[in-house]
Amino acid sequence: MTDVLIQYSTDRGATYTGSQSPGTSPGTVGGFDVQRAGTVSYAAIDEAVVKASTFGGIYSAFIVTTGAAPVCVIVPYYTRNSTTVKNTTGATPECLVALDQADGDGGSLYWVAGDGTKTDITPTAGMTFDSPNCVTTSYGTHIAVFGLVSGTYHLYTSTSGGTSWTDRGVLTAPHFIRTRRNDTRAKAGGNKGQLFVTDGNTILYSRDWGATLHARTMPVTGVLGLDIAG
Amino acid sequence: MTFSIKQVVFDPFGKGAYVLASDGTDSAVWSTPDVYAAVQVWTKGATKPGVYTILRTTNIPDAFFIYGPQVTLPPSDCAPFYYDLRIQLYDWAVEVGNWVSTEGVNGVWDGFEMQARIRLDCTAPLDPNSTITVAWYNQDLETNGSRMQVQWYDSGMNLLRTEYSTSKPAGENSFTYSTNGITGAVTWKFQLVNTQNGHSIIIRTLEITNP
Repeated sequence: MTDVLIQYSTDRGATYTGSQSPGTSPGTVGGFDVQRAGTVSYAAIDEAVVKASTFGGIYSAFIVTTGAAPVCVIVPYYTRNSTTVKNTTGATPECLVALDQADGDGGSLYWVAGDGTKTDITPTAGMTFDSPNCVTTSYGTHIAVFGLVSGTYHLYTSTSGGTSWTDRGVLTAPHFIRTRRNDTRAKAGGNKGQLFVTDGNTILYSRDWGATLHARTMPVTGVLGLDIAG
Repeated sequence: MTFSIKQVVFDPFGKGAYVLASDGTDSAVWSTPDVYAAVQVWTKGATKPGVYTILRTTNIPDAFFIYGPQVTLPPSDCAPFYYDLRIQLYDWAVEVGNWVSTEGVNGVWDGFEMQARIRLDCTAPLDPNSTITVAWYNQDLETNGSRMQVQWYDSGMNLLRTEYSTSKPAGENSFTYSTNGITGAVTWKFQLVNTQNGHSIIIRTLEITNP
Protein backbone atom coordinates (compact mmCIF):
# COMPACT_ATOMS: atom_id res chain seq x y z
CA MET A 1 0.00 0.00 0.00
CA THR A 2 1.40 3.39 -0.96
CA ASP A 3 0.19 6.81 -0.04
CA VAL A 4 1.11 10.40 -0.61
CA LEU A 5 3.38 11.47 2.21
CA ILE A 6 4.27 15.06 3.10
CA GLN A 7 7.02 16.00 5.54
CA TYR A 8 7.56 19.40 7.10
CA SER A 9 10.86 20.66 8.48
CA THR A 10 11.67 23.91 10.24
CA ASP A 11 15.41 23.31 10.59
CA ARG A 12 16.61 22.86 7.01
CA GLY A 13 15.84 19.15 7.02
CA ALA A 14 17.79 18.14 10.11
CA THR A 15 14.51 16.93 11.60
CA TYR A 16 10.91 16.68 10.45
CA THR A 17 8.02 17.61 12.68
CA GLY A 18 5.78 14.80 11.52
CA SER A 19 4.49 13.20 8.39
CA GLN A 20 1.11 13.68 6.82
CA SER A 21 -0.64 11.27 4.54
CA PRO A 22 -3.44 13.24 2.90
CA GLY A 23 -4.61 10.42 0.66
CA THR A 24 -3.84 7.51 -1.58
CA SER A 25 -1.17 7.83 -4.23
CA PRO A 26 -1.89 9.47 -7.58
CA GLY A 27 0.90 7.32 -9.06
CA THR A 28 4.61 7.95 -9.37
CA VAL A 29 4.07 11.61 -10.27
CA GLY A 30 2.06 14.09 -8.23
CA GLY A 31 1.94 17.84 -7.72
CA PHE A 32 2.39 19.92 -4.61
CA ASP A 33 2.83 23.61 -3.94
CA VAL A 34 2.76 26.12 -1.12
CA GLN A 35 1.39 29.64 -1.20
CA ARG A 36 4.30 32.09 -1.50
CA ALA A 37 3.65 34.25 1.59
CA GLY A 38 0.81 32.40 3.27
CA THR A 39 0.15 29.05 4.84
CA VAL A 40 -2.04 27.27 2.31
CA SER A 41 -0.70 24.23 0.50
CA TYR A 42 -2.24 22.04 -2.17
CA ALA A 43 -1.32 18.38 -2.68
CA ALA A 44 -2.19 15.85 -5.35
CA ILE A 45 -3.70 12.54 -4.30
CA ASP A 46 -5.56 9.90 -6.26
CA GLU A 47 -7.91 11.74 -8.66
CA ALA A 48 -8.08 14.83 -6.47
CA VAL A 49 -6.25 17.80 -5.04
CA VAL A 50 -6.51 18.39 -1.30
CA LYS A 51 -5.85 21.54 0.67
CA ALA A 52 -4.34 22.40 4.04
CA SER A 53 -4.83 25.90 5.42
CA THR A 54 -1.95 25.84 7.87
CA PHE A 55 1.53 24.37 7.93
CA GLY A 56 1.14 20.87 9.27
CA GLY A 57 -2.64 21.22 9.21
CA ILE A 58 -5.14 18.65 8.09
CA TYR A 59 -5.69 18.21 4.37
CA SER A 60 -9.27 18.19 3.19
CA ALA A 61 -11.04 17.95 -0.15
CA PHE A 62 -10.50 20.79 -2.65
CA ILE A 63 -11.14 19.57 -6.19
CA VAL A 64 -11.80 16.23 -7.84
CA THR A 65 -10.09 15.17 -11.08
CA THR A 66 -12.11 12.08 -11.82
CA GLY A 67 -10.17 9.55 -13.85
CA ALA A 68 -6.97 11.60 -13.96
CA ALA A 69 -3.90 12.13 -11.79
CA PRO A 70 -2.93 15.70 -10.85
CA VAL A 71 0.74 15.52 -11.80
CA CYS A 72 1.55 19.20 -11.32
CA VAL A 73 0.12 21.81 -8.95
CA ILE A 74 1.30 25.42 -8.98
CA VAL A 75 0.16 28.34 -6.82
CA PRO A 76 0.83 31.39 -9.02
CA TYR A 77 1.93 34.72 -7.61
CA TYR A 78 -1.00 36.58 -9.19
CA THR A 79 -4.66 35.78 -9.74
CA ARG A 80 -5.78 34.81 -13.20
CA ASN A 81 -5.40 37.54 -15.82
CA SER A 82 -4.28 40.08 -13.24
CA THR A 83 -1.01 41.98 -13.11
CA THR A 84 -1.91 43.67 -9.82
CA VAL A 85 -3.89 41.31 -7.58
CA LYS A 86 -1.49 39.00 -5.78
CA ASN A 87 -2.29 35.40 -4.96
CA THR A 88 0.45 35.02 -2.37
CA THR A 89 -1.64 35.47 0.78
CA GLY A 90 -5.18 34.79 1.90
CA ALA A 91 -7.18 31.71 2.73
CA THR A 92 -8.32 30.83 -0.79
CA PRO A 93 -5.45 31.10 -3.25
CA GLU A 94 -5.91 30.10 -6.86
CA CYS A 95 -3.85 27.31 -8.38
CA LEU A 96 -3.06 25.62 -11.67
CA VAL A 97 -3.44 21.86 -11.97
CA ALA A 98 -2.07 19.74 -14.82
CA LEU A 99 -3.34 16.18 -15.31
CA ASP A 100 -1.97 13.02 -16.88
CA GLN A 101 -5.12 12.76 -18.99
CA ALA A 102 -8.39 14.60 -19.41
CA ASP A 103 -10.57 14.22 -16.34
CA GLY A 104 -14.32 13.83 -16.10
CA ASP A 105 -14.77 17.52 -16.86
CA GLY A 106 -12.89 17.18 -20.14
CA GLY A 107 -9.73 19.18 -19.48
CA SER A 108 -6.14 18.31 -18.64
CA LEU A 109 -4.99 21.76 -17.52
CA TYR A 110 -7.09 23.89 -15.18
CA TRP A 111 -6.81 27.28 -13.57
CA VAL A 112 -8.64 26.67 -10.30
CA ALA A 113 -10.26 29.52 -8.39
CA GLY A 114 -9.99 29.73 -4.63
CA ASP A 115 -13.45 28.23 -4.22
CA GLY A 116 -12.49 25.18 -6.29
CA THR A 117 -14.11 26.28 -9.55
CA LYS A 118 -12.13 24.79 -12.41
CA THR A 119 -11.57 26.69 -15.67
CA ASP A 120 -10.36 24.50 -18.51
CA ILE A 121 -7.30 26.10 -20.11
CA THR A 122 -5.94 23.02 -21.89
CA PRO A 123 -3.63 24.36 -24.63
CA THR A 124 -4.74 21.88 -27.27
CA ALA A 125 -7.12 18.94 -27.26
CA GLY A 126 -5.48 15.70 -26.19
CA MET A 127 -2.49 17.33 -24.49
CA THR A 128 -1.39 15.49 -21.36
CA PHE A 129 1.23 16.09 -18.70
CA ASP A 130 3.71 13.86 -16.89
CA SER A 131 5.98 16.10 -14.81
CA PRO A 132 5.51 17.82 -11.44
CA ASN A 133 7.51 20.75 -12.88
CA CYS A 134 5.71 21.33 -16.18
CA VAL A 135 3.91 24.64 -15.49
CA THR A 136 5.18 28.14 -14.74
CA THR A 137 3.56 31.57 -14.69
CA SER A 138 4.50 35.21 -14.80
CA TYR A 139 1.81 37.50 -13.39
CA GLY A 140 -1.69 36.17 -13.98
CA THR A 141 -1.46 36.43 -17.72
CA HIS A 142 1.63 34.55 -18.82
CA ILE A 143 1.65 30.74 -18.61
CA ALA A 144 4.17 28.32 -20.06
CA VAL A 145 3.81 24.53 -20.04
CA PHE A 146 5.34 21.47 -21.58
CA GLY A 147 3.37 18.31 -22.18
CA LEU A 148 2.63 15.50 -24.56
CA VAL A 149 0.68 15.92 -27.79
CA SER A 150 0.24 12.63 -29.64
CA GLY A 151 3.25 11.24 -27.78
CA THR A 152 5.58 14.17 -28.51
CA TYR A 153 6.57 16.86 -26.03
CA HIS A 154 5.58 20.40 -26.98
CA LEU A 155 6.20 23.76 -25.35
CA TYR A 156 3.10 25.94 -25.24
CA THR A 157 2.86 29.51 -24.00
CA SER A 158 -0.02 31.86 -23.31
CA THR A 159 -0.14 35.58 -22.59
CA SER A 160 -3.89 35.59 -21.91
CA GLY A 161 -4.21 33.50 -18.78
CA GLY A 162 -4.72 30.38 -20.86
CA THR A 163 -7.48 31.69 -23.11
CA SER A 164 -5.28 31.24 -26.18
CA TRP A 165 -2.00 29.40 -26.66
CA THR A 166 0.96 29.29 -29.02
CA ASP A 167 2.84 26.09 -29.84
CA ARG A 168 6.55 26.94 -29.45
CA GLY A 169 7.75 23.67 -30.88
CA VAL A 170 8.90 20.19 -30.00
CA LEU A 171 10.98 19.17 -26.99
CA THR A 172 12.81 15.89 -26.47
CA ALA A 173 13.08 15.24 -22.74
CA PRO A 174 11.84 18.26 -20.78
CA HIS A 175 12.19 18.19 -17.02
CA PHE A 176 11.73 21.68 -15.59
CA ILE A 177 10.22 24.95 -16.66
CA ARG A 178 10.77 28.15 -14.73
CA THR A 179 10.53 31.89 -15.05
CA ARG A 180 12.22 34.63 -13.03
CA ARG A 181 10.28 35.71 -9.98
CA ASN A 182 11.40 39.33 -10.24
CA ASP A 183 11.05 39.68 -14.00
CA THR A 184 8.48 42.45 -14.46
CA ARG A 185 8.51 42.64 -18.24
CA ALA A 186 5.50 40.37 -18.74
CA LYS A 187 3.41 43.07 -17.05
CA ALA A 188 3.62 45.03 -20.29
CA GLY A 189 1.81 42.22 -22.10
CA GLY A 190 2.72 40.37 -25.28
CA ASN A 191 5.63 38.03 -25.68
CA LYS A 192 7.72 39.37 -22.85
CA GLY A 193 9.26 37.61 -19.91
CA GLN A 194 12.14 35.24 -19.39
CA LEU A 195 11.65 31.51 -19.64
CA PHE A 196 13.99 28.64 -18.78
CA VAL A 197 13.32 25.04 -19.85
CA THR A 198 15.50 22.00 -19.29
CA ASP A 199 15.41 19.54 -22.20
CA GLY A 200 17.68 16.55 -21.72
CA ASN A 201 21.14 18.00 -21.10
CA THR A 202 20.18 21.36 -22.60
CA ILE A 203 18.84 24.49 -20.94
CA LEU A 204 16.63 26.52 -23.25
CA TYR A 205 16.42 30.22 -22.52
CA SER A 206 13.94 32.70 -23.90
CA ARG A 207 13.58 36.41 -23.21
CA ASP A 208 10.38 36.71 -25.26
CA TRP A 209 8.21 34.09 -23.52
CA GLY A 210 9.19 31.24 -25.78
CA ALA A 211 9.05 32.98 -29.16
CA THR A 212 12.81 32.57 -29.48
CA LEU A 213 14.68 29.82 -27.66
CA HIS A 214 18.43 29.81 -27.12
CA ALA A 215 20.05 26.48 -26.25
CA ARG A 216 22.93 25.96 -23.86
CA THR A 217 24.10 22.36 -23.71
CA MET A 218 25.54 21.10 -20.44
CA PRO A 219 28.30 18.47 -20.17
CA VAL A 220 26.04 16.06 -18.34
CA THR A 221 23.58 13.37 -19.36
CA GLY A 222 20.60 15.30 -18.07
CA VAL A 223 19.69 18.44 -16.18
CA LEU A 224 17.75 17.13 -13.19
CA GLY A 225 16.99 20.34 -11.35
CA LEU A 226 16.55 24.00 -12.11
CA ASP A 227 15.73 27.09 -10.11
CA ILE A 228 16.23 30.73 -10.95
CA ALA A 229 17.60 33.22 -8.45
CA GLY A 230 15.84 36.56 -8.44
CA MET B 1 23.17 3.61 -3.58
CA THR B 2 23.75 6.83 -5.44
CA PHE B 3 21.44 9.73 -4.73
CA SER B 4 19.91 11.38 -7.77
CA ILE B 5 18.70 14.97 -7.68
CA LYS B 6 14.94 15.47 -7.73
CA GLN B 7 14.75 19.21 -7.16
CA VAL B 8 16.94 22.24 -6.48
CA VAL B 9 15.48 25.33 -4.85
CA PHE B 10 16.97 28.64 -3.78
CA ASP B 11 16.43 29.65 -0.17
CA PRO B 12 14.14 32.71 -0.42
CA PHE B 13 15.62 34.16 2.76
CA GLY B 14 19.25 34.41 1.78
CA LYS B 15 21.97 33.08 -0.45
CA GLY B 16 21.39 29.45 0.44
CA ALA B 17 19.92 26.60 -1.54
CA TYR B 18 18.35 23.20 -1.04
CA VAL B 19 18.78 19.99 -3.01
CA LEU B 20 16.26 17.16 -2.66
CA ALA B 21 17.65 13.81 -3.75
CA SER B 22 16.74 10.15 -3.56
CA ASP B 23 18.50 6.84 -4.10
CA GLY B 24 15.26 5.16 -5.11
CA THR B 25 14.59 3.94 -1.59
CA ASP B 26 15.28 6.85 0.73
CA SER B 27 15.39 10.62 0.35
CA ALA B 28 17.27 13.48 1.98
CA VAL B 29 17.75 17.20 1.62
CA TRP B 30 21.15 18.83 1.36
CA SER B 31 21.44 22.52 2.16
CA THR B 32 24.08 25.18 1.85
CA PRO B 33 24.01 28.62 3.51
CA ASP B 34 25.72 30.33 0.56
CA VAL B 35 25.45 28.85 -2.88
CA TYR B 36 27.71 31.60 -4.26
CA ALA B 37 30.65 30.77 -2.00
CA ALA B 38 33.82 29.62 -3.72
CA VAL B 39 33.93 26.52 -1.54
CA GLN B 40 30.57 24.88 -1.01
CA VAL B 41 29.59 23.37 2.31
CA TRP B 42 26.58 21.11 1.87
CA THR B 43 24.92 19.68 4.96
CA LYS B 44 22.85 16.55 4.61
CA GLY B 45 19.62 16.43 6.61
CA ALA B 46 17.76 13.46 8.02
CA THR B 47 17.19 10.51 5.73
CA LYS B 48 13.51 9.75 5.18
CA PRO B 49 12.24 6.43 3.81
CA GLY B 50 10.56 6.78 0.43
CA VAL B 51 11.08 8.71 -2.78
CA TYR B 52 10.21 12.39 -2.42
CA THR B 53 10.06 14.43 -5.61
CA ILE B 54 9.07 17.98 -4.66
CA LEU B 55 10.56 20.50 -2.23
CA ARG B 56 8.80 23.77 -1.47
CA THR B 57 10.08 26.52 0.77
CA THR B 58 7.67 28.55 2.91
CA ASN B 59 7.43 32.05 4.33
CA ILE B 60 9.33 30.90 7.41
CA PRO B 61 13.14 30.86 7.34
CA ASP B 62 14.70 27.38 7.29
CA ALA B 63 11.30 25.74 6.79
CA PHE B 64 10.22 23.63 3.85
CA PHE B 65 7.96 20.78 2.78
CA ILE B 66 8.92 17.67 0.88
CA TYR B 67 6.24 15.72 -1.02
CA GLY B 68 6.34 12.05 -1.98
CA PRO B 69 3.60 10.93 -4.38
CA GLN B 70 4.00 7.22 -3.76
CA VAL B 71 5.54 6.33 -0.43
CA THR B 72 5.17 2.93 1.15
CA LEU B 73 4.21 3.41 4.74
CA PRO B 74 6.13 1.47 7.36
CA PRO B 75 4.77 -1.94 8.34
CA SER B 76 2.73 -2.44 11.46
CA ASP B 77 3.11 -4.84 14.36
CA CYS B 78 -0.56 -4.77 15.14
CA ALA B 79 -2.56 -7.44 16.88
CA PRO B 80 -6.13 -8.55 16.09
CA PHE B 81 -8.87 -6.03 16.71
CA TYR B 82 -12.58 -5.94 16.04
CA TYR B 83 -15.13 -3.21 16.39
CA ASP B 84 -18.69 -2.84 15.24
CA LEU B 85 -20.40 0.53 15.07
CA ARG B 86 -23.74 1.73 13.80
CA ILE B 87 -24.43 5.39 13.18
CA GLN B 88 -27.51 7.08 11.79
CA LEU B 89 -27.59 10.63 10.48
CA TYR B 90 -30.54 12.74 9.50
CA ASP B 91 -31.82 16.31 8.98
CA TRP B 92 -29.18 17.92 6.78
CA ALA B 93 -30.18 21.41 7.69
CA VAL B 94 -27.41 23.20 9.52
CA GLU B 95 -23.69 22.96 9.36
CA VAL B 96 -22.05 20.92 12.03
CA GLY B 97 -19.80 22.95 14.31
CA ASN B 98 -17.45 20.81 16.24
CA TRP B 99 -17.16 17.15 15.62
CA VAL B 100 -19.36 14.94 17.72
CA SER B 101 -17.42 12.41 19.71
CA THR B 102 -18.61 9.22 21.22
CA GLU B 103 -17.15 6.10 22.62
CA GLY B 104 -20.45 4.33 22.49
CA VAL B 105 -22.01 2.21 19.82
CA ASN B 106 -24.72 4.50 18.53
CA GLY B 107 -24.77 8.18 17.75
CA VAL B 108 -27.05 10.63 15.96
CA TRP B 109 -25.98 13.92 14.41
CA ASP B 110 -27.52 16.67 12.34
CA GLY B 111 -25.51 18.47 9.71
CA PHE B 112 -25.10 19.84 6.24
CA GLU B 113 -21.90 17.94 5.80
CA MET B 114 -21.38 14.83 7.76
CA GLN B 115 -18.48 15.06 10.11
CA ALA B 116 -18.45 12.38 12.75
CA ARG B 117 -15.53 11.67 14.97
CA ILE B 118 -15.42 8.34 16.65
CA ARG B 119 -12.68 7.71 19.10
CA LEU B 120 -11.53 4.16 19.38
CA ASP B 121 -8.96 3.48 22.04
CA CYS B 122 -7.19 0.45 20.83
CA THR B 123 -5.22 -1.12 23.65
CA ALA B 124 -3.58 -3.57 21.30
CA PRO B 125 -2.14 -2.53 17.97
CA LEU B 126 -4.00 -3.39 14.83
CA ASP B 127 -2.94 -6.19 12.58
CA PRO B 128 -0.93 -4.79 9.65
CA ASN B 129 -3.32 -6.38 7.19
CA SER B 130 -6.54 -5.35 8.89
CA THR B 131 -9.20 -3.69 6.85
CA ILE B 132 -12.05 -1.37 7.72
CA THR B 133 -15.20 -1.73 5.69
CA VAL B 134 -17.52 1.24 5.84
CA ALA B 135 -20.99 0.81 4.42
CA TRP B 136 -23.26 3.77 3.90
CA TYR B 137 -26.36 4.87 2.09
CA ASN B 138 -26.38 7.90 -0.23
CA GLN B 139 -29.65 9.57 -0.94
CA ASP B 140 -30.14 11.71 -4.05
CA LEU B 141 -26.54 12.62 -4.68
CA GLU B 142 -25.15 14.79 -7.43
CA THR B 143 -24.10 13.30 -10.73
CA ASN B 144 -20.58 12.42 -9.81
CA GLY B 145 -21.62 10.64 -6.68
CA SER B 146 -19.86 10.75 -3.38
CA ARG B 147 -16.58 9.69 -1.93
CA MET B 148 -16.25 8.66 1.67
CA GLN B 149 -13.09 9.94 3.30
CA VAL B 150 -11.68 8.30 6.37
CA GLN B 151 -8.91 9.93 8.39
CA TRP B 152 -7.01 8.48 11.28
CA TYR B 153 -5.51 10.61 14.04
CA ASP B 154 -3.24 9.72 16.91
CA SER B 155 -3.98 10.55 20.54
CA GLY B 156 -2.55 14.05 20.03
CA MET B 157 -4.93 14.59 17.09
CA ASN B 158 -2.10 14.53 14.58
CA LEU B 159 -3.28 13.26 11.22
CA LEU B 160 -1.85 9.83 10.52
CA ARG B 161 -3.35 9.16 7.12
CA THR B 162 -6.30 9.83 4.87
CA GLU B 163 -7.99 7.56 2.42
CA TYR B 164 -10.83 8.23 0.02
CA SER B 165 -13.18 5.69 -1.44
CA THR B 166 -13.77 5.66 -5.16
CA SER B 167 -16.74 7.70 -6.35
CA LYS B 168 -20.02 6.03 -5.50
CA PRO B 169 -23.52 6.55 -6.89
CA ALA B 170 -26.70 7.04 -4.93
CA GLY B 171 -27.89 4.07 -2.96
CA GLU B 172 -26.10 1.58 -0.83
CA ASN B 173 -22.34 1.64 -0.99
CA SER B 174 -19.39 0.29 0.83
CA PHE B 175 -15.66 0.65 0.65
CA THR B 176 -12.83 -1.19 2.34
CA TYR B 177 -9.98 0.83 3.76
CA SER B 178 -6.64 -0.46 4.90
CA THR B 179 -5.55 0.23 8.45
CA ASN B 180 -2.06 0.29 6.98
CA GLY B 181 0.09 0.51 10.03
CA ILE B 182 -2.18 2.44 12.37
CA THR B 183 -1.35 1.45 15.92
CA GLY B 184 -2.40 2.29 19.44
CA ALA B 185 -5.10 4.77 20.34
CA VAL B 186 -6.61 6.32 17.26
CA THR B 187 -9.37 8.76 16.46
CA TRP B 188 -11.25 8.35 13.22
CA LYS B 189 -13.00 11.01 11.22
CA PHE B 190 -15.45 10.16 8.49
CA GLN B 191 -16.45 12.74 5.95
CA LEU B 192 -18.64 12.44 2.90
CA VAL B 193 -17.26 14.67 0.19
CA ASN B 194 -19.06 16.20 -2.80
CA THR B 195 -22.37 16.44 -1.04
CA GLN B 196 -24.99 19.09 -1.64
CA ASN B 197 -27.44 20.69 0.69
CA GLY B 198 -30.47 18.56 1.27
CA HIS B 199 -28.73 15.28 0.71
CA SER B 200 -28.35 12.71 3.37
CA ILE B 201 -26.24 9.79 4.27
CA ILE B 202 -26.54 6.95 6.67
CA ILE B 203 -23.54 5.01 7.82
CA ARG B 204 -25.03 1.61 8.28
CA THR B 205 -22.09 -0.30 9.61
CA LEU B 206 -18.46 0.15 10.26
CA GLU B 207 -16.50 -2.97 10.78
CA ILE B 208 -12.88 -3.71 11.42
CA THR B 209 -11.85 -7.22 10.54
CA ASN B 210 -8.68 -9.18 10.74
CA PRO B 211 -7.34 -11.45 8.05
